[in-house]
Amino acid sequence: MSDESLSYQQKRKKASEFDSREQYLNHELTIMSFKKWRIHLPFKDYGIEIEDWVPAIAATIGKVVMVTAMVAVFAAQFGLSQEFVAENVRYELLIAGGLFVIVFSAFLNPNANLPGTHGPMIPLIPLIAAAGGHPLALGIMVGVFGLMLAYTKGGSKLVTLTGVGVRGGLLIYLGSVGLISQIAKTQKWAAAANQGYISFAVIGITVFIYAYLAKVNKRWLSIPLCSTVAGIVAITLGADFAFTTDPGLPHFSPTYWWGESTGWQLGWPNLTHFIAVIPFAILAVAMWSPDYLGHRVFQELNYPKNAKGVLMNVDDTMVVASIRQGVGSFLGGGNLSSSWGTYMIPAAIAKRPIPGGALLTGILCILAGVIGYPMDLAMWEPVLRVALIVGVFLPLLEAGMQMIHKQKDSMSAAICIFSSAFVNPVFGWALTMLLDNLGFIGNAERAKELSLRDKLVIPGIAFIICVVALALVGQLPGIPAIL
Amino acid sequence: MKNVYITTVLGPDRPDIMKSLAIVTRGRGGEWLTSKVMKLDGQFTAMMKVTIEQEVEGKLKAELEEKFKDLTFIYAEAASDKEKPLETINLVVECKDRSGLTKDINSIISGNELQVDRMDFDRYEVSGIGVAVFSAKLSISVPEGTDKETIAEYFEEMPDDVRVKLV
Repeated sequence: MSDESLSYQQKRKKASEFDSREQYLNHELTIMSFKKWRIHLPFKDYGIEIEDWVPAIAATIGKVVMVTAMVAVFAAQFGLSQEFVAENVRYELLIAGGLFVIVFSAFLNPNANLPGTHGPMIPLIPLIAAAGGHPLALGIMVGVFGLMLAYTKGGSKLVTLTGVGVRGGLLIYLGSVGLISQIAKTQKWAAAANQGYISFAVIGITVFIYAYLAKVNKRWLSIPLCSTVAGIVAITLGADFAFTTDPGLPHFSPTYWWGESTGWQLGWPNLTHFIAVIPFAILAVAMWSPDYLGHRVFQELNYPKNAKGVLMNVDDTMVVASIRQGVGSFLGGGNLSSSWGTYMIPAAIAKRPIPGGALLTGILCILAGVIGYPMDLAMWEPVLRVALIVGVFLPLLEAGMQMIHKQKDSMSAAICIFSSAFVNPVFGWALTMLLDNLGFIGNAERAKELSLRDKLVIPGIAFIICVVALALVGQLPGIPAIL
Repeated sequence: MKNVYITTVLGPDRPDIMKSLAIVTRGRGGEWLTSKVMKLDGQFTAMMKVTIEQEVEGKLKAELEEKFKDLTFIYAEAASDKEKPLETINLVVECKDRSGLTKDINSIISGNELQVDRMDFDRYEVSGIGVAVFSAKLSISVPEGTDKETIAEYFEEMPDDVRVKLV
């Protein structure tokens, strides 16, 4: 009987038969093979090992922090309470954990990475709100554009369209703006209690720990370690903390969340809301492709060479994230979805495939959402801000700077940063992509090799759509809204 | 009609000698399909596979011998004066990003005399840990029947962990 016809259970060997744990884990990766949209069961089609707890715990902490940050920024724009934030985060943990992570990544399609949170979009939320955007409209448009991208397999194409300089500049801008904003919020929180020294100590210690983790190549530990230390330091220095979120369940009705006087208190979105969010939804999905591809390549580099059946499928991940986005937003959640990096990276380093840890992650998310108390820890200011600094914005900044190798790319990056600061990152990205692809700035050699469609048509259409949408809702500086 | 033959050149080495030989060849409409050079103690030897229109071949040989009197030229028929049919193999090379990667890839290409029809490369950030990964897609023309795994192995010899996939 050939090896290929044997099932996972038949090919499995005990860990004691190998000389090292790593050899055993590598062997496990080579004998699993998943088929999309069929039922896969734990211990029948994949194993669950102690190492699966590493990405599960890291992902759960990351999820609570990132969703809290995202919903809290939305809430601040619309004047909603902390209780709303807590209930919406709880809701998102149940949607993400119970519905999508377990159903898709653990059972139906273990080659699809878990749908997580789009951290780099957090600094754009105030701009989205100022433009008259509606969270449900944004979620639906992101879901629609994401499905279009997945079905046309346009992910790689989109990456080709955006030059390295443009991408690097966008990452540097979002990373810097986010970093400065989180530091300022930490200082504001401490100053409000006349304990400004706490923010100084927390941020200062975070810098040292992050630098150390970068030196020993363990950056993936930064969220759990830095945020834990931040919490301990803050408590030790006298910061006030209390568990306030009791165990319970959130409202499950979309009519509650999208009511005029309940939930978001915004009602259902209208046409103006959809127009306002279009440019931001385009940017959100444009940032998906390099994010997903980065996760896939990182996973592949950490796995043995013949571990083909367990690799992340970018298009399937996009489909699941798009569906999760649309459904989650319709149900009332405030999350913006993307590939779950705080899961994939530790899973790849631990040499574990997607489904086992996904099952544990789903269970932990549901428990965190129902119990409530763990959410209070992750939502506490020093823990939340430090997690965002080390888990989202510092890595964005680092990655952006690493991408700029050549002088030509640094020119595009600078123009992108300048135009992002001038209007907003959507405008900056669209304008710089157009100029870069035409060869006016950046790498002229690359521009010569592009077809007319890639050089002018697609970037031109993207630029026009973004500018028109921004102009309609008054987001071009000094230009009154047309609508 | 074009003819293909092998030229062996040997003699004292001097700066830009290969460039000078190439200029004369191109001036007559000829082209080097491939070349190998060896230098030792002030002497050099080069072998070139030359393709040129039949009617101009004699003139090129005469011009080379006239202009480079201190060099010895030996001519031989190529193994086949018809070029073998080519096929395209597509590779994806992925690894952690670092400076000098494209230079390393170009060195492998030139060192193994690979005919690259297209090369696209990209860098993707790995969100959350501030590092980037590198991905290059290459389309290489090789004679029919070439072992594709051998071509892939050229790139797998790069330092650092590299993944090479035939697509």
